[in-house]
Amino acid sequence: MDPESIRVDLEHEAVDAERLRLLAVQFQFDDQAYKRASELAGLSPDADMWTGLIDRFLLVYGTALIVAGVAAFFAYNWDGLDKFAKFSLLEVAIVICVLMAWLKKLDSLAGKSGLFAAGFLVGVLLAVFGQTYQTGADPYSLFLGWALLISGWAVIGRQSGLWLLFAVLINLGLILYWEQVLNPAMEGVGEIGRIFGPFLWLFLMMSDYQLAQLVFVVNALVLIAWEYFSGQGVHWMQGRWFPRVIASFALLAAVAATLLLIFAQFLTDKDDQLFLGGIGFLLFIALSSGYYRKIRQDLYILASCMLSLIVVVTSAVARALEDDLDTGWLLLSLLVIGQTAAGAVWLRTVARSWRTA
Amino acid sequence: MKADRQRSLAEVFGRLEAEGYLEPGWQEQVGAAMATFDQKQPWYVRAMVGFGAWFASLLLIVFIMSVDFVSTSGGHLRFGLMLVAAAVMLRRSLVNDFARQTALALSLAGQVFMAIGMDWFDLGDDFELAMLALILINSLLIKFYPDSVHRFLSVIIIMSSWVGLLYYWETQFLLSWLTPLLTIGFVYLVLQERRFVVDRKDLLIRPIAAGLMVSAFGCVMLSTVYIIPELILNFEFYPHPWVTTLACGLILLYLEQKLLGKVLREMRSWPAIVVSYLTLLLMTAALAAPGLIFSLIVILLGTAQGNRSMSGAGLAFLTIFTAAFFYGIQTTMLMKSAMLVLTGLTVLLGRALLLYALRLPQEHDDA
Repeated sequence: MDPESIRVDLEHEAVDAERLRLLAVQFQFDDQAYKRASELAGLSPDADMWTGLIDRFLLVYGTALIVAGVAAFFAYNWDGLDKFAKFSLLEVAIVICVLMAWLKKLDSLAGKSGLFAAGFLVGVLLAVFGQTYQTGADPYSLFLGWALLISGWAVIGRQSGLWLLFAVLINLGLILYWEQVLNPAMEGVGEIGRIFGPFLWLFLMMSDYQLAQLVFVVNALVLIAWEYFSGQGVHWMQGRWFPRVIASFALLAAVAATLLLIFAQFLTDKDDQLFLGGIGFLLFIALSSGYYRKIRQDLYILASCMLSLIVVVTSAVARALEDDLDTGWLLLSLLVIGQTAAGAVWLRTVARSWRTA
Repeated sequence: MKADRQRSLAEVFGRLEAEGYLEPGWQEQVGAAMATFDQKQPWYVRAMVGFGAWFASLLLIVFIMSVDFVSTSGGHLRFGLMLVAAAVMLRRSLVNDFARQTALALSLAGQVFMAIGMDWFDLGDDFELAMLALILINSLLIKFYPDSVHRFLSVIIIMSSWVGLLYYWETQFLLSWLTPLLTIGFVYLVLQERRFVVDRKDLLIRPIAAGLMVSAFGCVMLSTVYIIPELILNFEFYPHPWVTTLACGLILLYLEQKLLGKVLREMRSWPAIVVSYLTLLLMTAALAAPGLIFSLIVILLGTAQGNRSMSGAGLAFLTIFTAAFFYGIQTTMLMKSAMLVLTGLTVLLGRALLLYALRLPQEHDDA
């Protein structure tokens, strides 16, 4: 290795716990040297760091628990509490949260927590409204109305948490609208899913290929918009967890749509649009592989794409081998091993190329 | 030291040289080590590898079953042993990724065949024998199979087998004790991590610690499972969750004393005493929700160790547990509400007192 490039690298490479561990072994550090290196690297938090962490974590943790507790209280639907008392309590809570956001400023953690809590409580207020007056409205209207009401706060809030809440509400509203209005045949499937919990419900809903395609498109568009504005340098959009979550939503829906295409023979109701799921999936994988490798380095999304590809390719081969599955199982097993190994090598190569670039 | 900036390798190692911990000329050695570091994978890539191996082993099992390659119990046992032995040899002799994946899949498939074939011994209950075999073989493989993903999976398999046996023996009341025991094991290994690195045992110990952490979380999640009494009479999935809360609360108290000592200046000062009382209050408020305290332990430990993956895991545990706890129906919504609000208020009160005690201006978070 060229000594000059080593010097440059060392000045740009940050020390994290994993690297320090490796170097401690390499240099055969004793306990004292390792401890001192951890201190110098800022890995063993000092008083200031602890204070900052305690401050931030406990604020978010406490607020989240209280908001969840308030939601549980109204979900209990206590008969002893007058309806006006319920509305007053919730509205006062929302006003307090908004005031906190205003007084503490929207860019502070307290302000962000306040605005997020207010956004969450709006949904509880809508639920209590529906509970009290038995409006007969379909549940999708609750989620879409909730999203609409908090959209203004999401725009001015400059925080990914509120945008994620918004995105989840849009997804849920869309799925429920599909189930209750556009394709009521899915309502029976949805009812079964709901008995066993929200995850099974979501899984069963994704067995409708048109809905899966729609959810994929919505999340892909959200991701594209986020990456565009993030690329424009919007400072609060620089964190990576929001795009990672949305990319995971998009990939799950795209994989569901593609698997339904692969195993289309089992579908009773299908049309020519079925193949769009596969095209969308391949397009997403191709574009993401390029974008997250060359332009915005994100190994998590690349690994997610790789895993999705393994699932889809294995399913496609299984479908092709269905007449000779006895020996096909062995082939599939080797195929999974080969793809996983190749995927791990590729991801490592990509990560290395970023370091040496 | 500021929390908002990571130090570079040059800065840290330069200071170590200046303070006499390193000889001059360390630059080249660090550069070479960094090239080795490129071989390390982040947790989500390791998770992908683990998933691939598990899925491949499943397909392999289906293949062997479908071709009727082995049909007797003795055959299953021998074949399973062969697969595991082949996996160990393959992993110890070759280091490329394909060999690793193959070995992992062979080992997992082999263990399943061994468990199926245990009735060959005709020593008693087949389920008990299968679980005990899995515990035994994985205890050995932790030592002899030099792979972090496998070691992690071995701990999970061992603990899952124990949990299966506890349910089978209808002694699931012990689960409320098993979770704190696993937590103690995990906390001990993490606190001793520096010593293990110095002794070059970290490659063995770290996956075990991660396995214990995930196993403890798996156990604590069982406390949110509830079966309608009409379906199974008098069956409790996780009796006495309060035992786990109290035991984990004591572990949290110990960690606060150990890790936050410097921040609280003297452990006998009033902020430290207040923190201890608030932790006791937290334990009372979260009595039926042991996952809340367990998650705090993981987050605190991860932060203290500068291990962001661990802190992230703690946050993920907290979110998943709270969602499952909220959705479960064993406790009424009113009780859950009281518990969550009280816990939240306790946390906020603790934060305010701590910040006051540390003479930190309340406007800190506006900065």
